[in-house]
Amino acid sequence: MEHGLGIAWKSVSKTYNDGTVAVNNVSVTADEHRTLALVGSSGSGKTTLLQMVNRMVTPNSGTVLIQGQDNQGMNPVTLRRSIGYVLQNGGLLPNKTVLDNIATVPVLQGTRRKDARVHALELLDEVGLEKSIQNRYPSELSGGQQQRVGVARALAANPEILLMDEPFAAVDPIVRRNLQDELLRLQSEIGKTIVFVTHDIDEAFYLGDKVALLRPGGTLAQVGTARELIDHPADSFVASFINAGCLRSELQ
Amino acid sequence: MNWLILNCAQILHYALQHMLLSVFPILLGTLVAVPLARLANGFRLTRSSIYVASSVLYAIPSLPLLIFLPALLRTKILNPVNIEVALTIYAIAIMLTSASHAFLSIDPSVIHAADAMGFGAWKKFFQVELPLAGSQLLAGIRVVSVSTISLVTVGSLIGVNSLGFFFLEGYQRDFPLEIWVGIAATALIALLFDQILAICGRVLMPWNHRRVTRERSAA
Amino acid sequence: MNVFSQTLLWLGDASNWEGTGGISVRLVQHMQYSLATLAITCVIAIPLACYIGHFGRALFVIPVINALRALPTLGMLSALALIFGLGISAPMIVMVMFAIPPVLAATYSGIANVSQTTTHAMRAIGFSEWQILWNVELPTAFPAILGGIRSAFTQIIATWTVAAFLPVGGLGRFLIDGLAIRDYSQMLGASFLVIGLSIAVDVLMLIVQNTIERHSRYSQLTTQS
Repeated sequence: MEHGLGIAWKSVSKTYNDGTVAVNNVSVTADEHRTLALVGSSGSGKTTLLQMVNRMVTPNSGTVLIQGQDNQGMNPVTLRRSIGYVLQNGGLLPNKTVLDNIATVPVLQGTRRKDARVHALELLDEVGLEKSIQNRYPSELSGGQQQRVGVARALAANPEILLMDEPFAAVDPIVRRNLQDELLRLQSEIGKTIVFVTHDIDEAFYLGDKVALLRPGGTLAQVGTARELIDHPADSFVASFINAGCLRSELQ
Repeated sequence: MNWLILNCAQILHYALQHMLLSVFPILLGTLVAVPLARLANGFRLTRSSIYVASSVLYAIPSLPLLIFLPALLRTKILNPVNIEVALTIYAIAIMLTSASHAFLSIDPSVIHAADAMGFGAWKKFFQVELPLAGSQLLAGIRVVSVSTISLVTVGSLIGVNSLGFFFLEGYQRDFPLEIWVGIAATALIALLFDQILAICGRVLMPWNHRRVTRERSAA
Repeated sequence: MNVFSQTLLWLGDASNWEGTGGISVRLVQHMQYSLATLAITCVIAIPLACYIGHFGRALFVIPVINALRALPTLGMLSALALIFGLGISAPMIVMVMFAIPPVLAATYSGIANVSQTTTHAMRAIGFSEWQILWNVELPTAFPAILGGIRSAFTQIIATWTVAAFLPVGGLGRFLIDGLAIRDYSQMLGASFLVIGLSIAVDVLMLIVQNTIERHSRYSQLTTQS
């Protein structure tokens, strides 16, 4: 295993104030320029793990290393501006146009609004959107378009790391497949370190160079490539989780 | 009809007076209540206490307050400052609750996204929370505006004149037309202020007023 | 002389409390007027709101009644006094008119907030419309209705004070008459009394409302908005 590059979670645990154990002693790495898929049912702590990276969640114990540096030593606001983040519903600001949404982080970082907009327009093209939608508000976009704008916004400050929290869960299956293909294409061009959270094992296999499967209660069941998980499931939980996924995709 | 023509100047004079007396409490009440409500929302205890505070403030009857304030503020009873202070108190009372609800109604996922993008507290307040609470805040301000414009007239009972002057004079002279003209003029001012606020809302918050289109095809 | 000592002096003077124009009589009068006004308001507003809220019909009534709030209370008091003559009927009508909106709005939203799924399910298992209203919608809306009644009641108490520029009784007499003869200790004392009365009523009803809300078994039936 390459040390120091990408993101490394080191024995992290998180218990919320209401007593819920979200993550229980998990160690896993996301390799640089690769996609790590965190997959599990609800309550498996996958989103909590993701949010530890940009310090939206602070672990009770353990550390998160980014390029070898403990992120607890970093200023959370600066850190967050340097990491791209895509949410399930796009998380777009309803009061800003498409273009200004994409330009948000560069402007926060001090780029002149005019320059940020020029760059935003290029990104619009890169994520496969028409330039004509630049002055619309998020409410005037379809779900798929909103997700694409979300991806463009996450890329705007040219971050090394992209965090994606079930970004395609709310769109219909055909659009979802479309967006997944686009993401693969984009990733082959830009080569970011991506952490992708999903509850859908097929999506995890399709997009992840490496897949980390989590159990309810926030423990790690198995890490490996899709091939490794399918051919050598660590235990019956992993086998049944994969099977359920296969059954579902056959039914579709 | 004759009365209307003869007293045109006086009606205008009192209408202007009425508007001047109304503007200040509406603005000041909003400026005080909005940040206060946002701060109080941070904690359960402070949030519930502003609800009690606004209820109690609003329960203070206007006429007794207008009589009590000069004694507290050491002003003359005819000083318009008294009615301005009283109306500002009512504006704050209405606005505190409605601003608190407005900030609570913001979609938490948008706040989450703003945090994740690295908005600082101030930038988040001005660029995300304030605009997103905007339409509900505006609804609150419109209620404040209508209530203030109606309450200004109570000042006439203690001699601070507005269109309320015509209500009392019309009653004393047993002359209904004068009263109805006063009522109509007051309602017109309320309508005017309301329209101005609505236009401000449309200009300042264009994202609330675009036609919502759903394009399934170009996903 | 200090404001508060002046106030207390007037309130503390036993002779001010006695007689036909004394504080005791005026206080009772004020509460009688206010309670009567509140009762009439509820009798009109609550059934109307039930009808609108339950059947979703005649929804236009709500904005129309809300628009009435834009009319100045003082103006309506003088105008109706000239129409209906002296006595308490004119102020009573005006006050009912201004007290209906808060009660109507609160009752309506309380009832409309009961989730469609709940009412639909009840209808499906054979509840009549009346039974749905009586067994689910009204109990669910009860805390909201109390809230509406609370704000209507304090408003009514305040407006009966203002109405004293007409020849009616109540505590407002002391204010208006005191103003005419420049008797400041009487004005201050009575102001203090009305403010205290109004706040006491408000806080008392707030406590009742919160207690009921906390113990309401029906809250889970409302849709989260």
